[in-house]
Amino acid sequence: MRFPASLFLLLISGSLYAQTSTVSGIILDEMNMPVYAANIYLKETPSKGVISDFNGKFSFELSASELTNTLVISFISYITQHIKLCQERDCKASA
Amino acid sequence: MKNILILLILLPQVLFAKNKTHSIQPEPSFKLEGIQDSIYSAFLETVVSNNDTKLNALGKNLKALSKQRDLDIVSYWRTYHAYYTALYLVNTGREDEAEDLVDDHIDLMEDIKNPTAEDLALTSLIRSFSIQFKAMFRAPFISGRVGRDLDKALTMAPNNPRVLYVKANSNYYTPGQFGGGSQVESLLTDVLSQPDPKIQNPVLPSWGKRESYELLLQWYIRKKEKEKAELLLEEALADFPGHYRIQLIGKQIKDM
Repeated sequence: MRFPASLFLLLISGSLYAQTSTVSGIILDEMNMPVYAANIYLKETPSKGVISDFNGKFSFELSASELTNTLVISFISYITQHIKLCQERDCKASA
Repeated sequence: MKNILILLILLPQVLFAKNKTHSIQPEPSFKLEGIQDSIYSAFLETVVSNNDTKLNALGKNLKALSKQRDLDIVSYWRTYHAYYTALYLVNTGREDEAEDLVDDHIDLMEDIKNPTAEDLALTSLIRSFSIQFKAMFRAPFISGRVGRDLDKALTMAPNNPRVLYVKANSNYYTPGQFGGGSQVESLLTDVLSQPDPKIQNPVLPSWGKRESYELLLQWYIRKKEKEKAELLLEEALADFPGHYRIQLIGKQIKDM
């Protein structure tokens, strides 16, 4: 088993007072290489999610109520990561 | 005159270089999202119409993409595409072309440094398929390699439906005196009893279920177990309504 997508940067942008916010980030592996086609979805609503692009980047919109959810990142042969979203504007998280 | 000569020498090179650059670009509309279905649909269309234009176009796009993005997943889909292309080539009597294609793509998969269970499953599928092109004495060695790779894949992902399906497929085509057929039903039943994954990734492989239905139906036909075949056919058609190949197998079951 390979190590997990060891570095995960998360940036939540958008106004806290807006109806929706955007969660975006980049998935990198242990060699700091972008991970293409990783699944990124909400633990509470697995149908809501996207896959990372060729540069490891992803972005999707969340409603205000979803900002307390947990983001799940998974990819073949990598350990699945769970990241609790933060509610502050432009907050960064990594795993 | 000298200038013209230089121009004449340089011109083809410039044109060739330009053409070469152009040839490695995938079509703008080409995406990896949904590639599995695109390849399989193109294969079915090719078989039905005996026109491989669409299948070839996909192959060219995948090859072009591989020049742009050196990603294991692109090698994976190139190999999956090669497998279906080889199936078509064999059906149209072009075994030599199929063998070359299959061998090239086994090499391509072997270039993957850290193969996942998915990579090992696909490599094993295409390697098993290659046995038909090889001398008889090589078959046990190829089968041995397939078995080892599948065991490795199973330790990585014990419930992966593609690994289980390829293992069943390999067992199906192994002669009875070497243990062939002993695991087909149990492995395929395992695959078919699994729930569909909650998370769908449009770029990653999800095949295995339909293939398992087809192989298990063929197994029941081979074993002349009509009742089991009829029950399974109902389930298969409920999961894959109107599917071309399942319907073809259904006709065989009727004639049992």
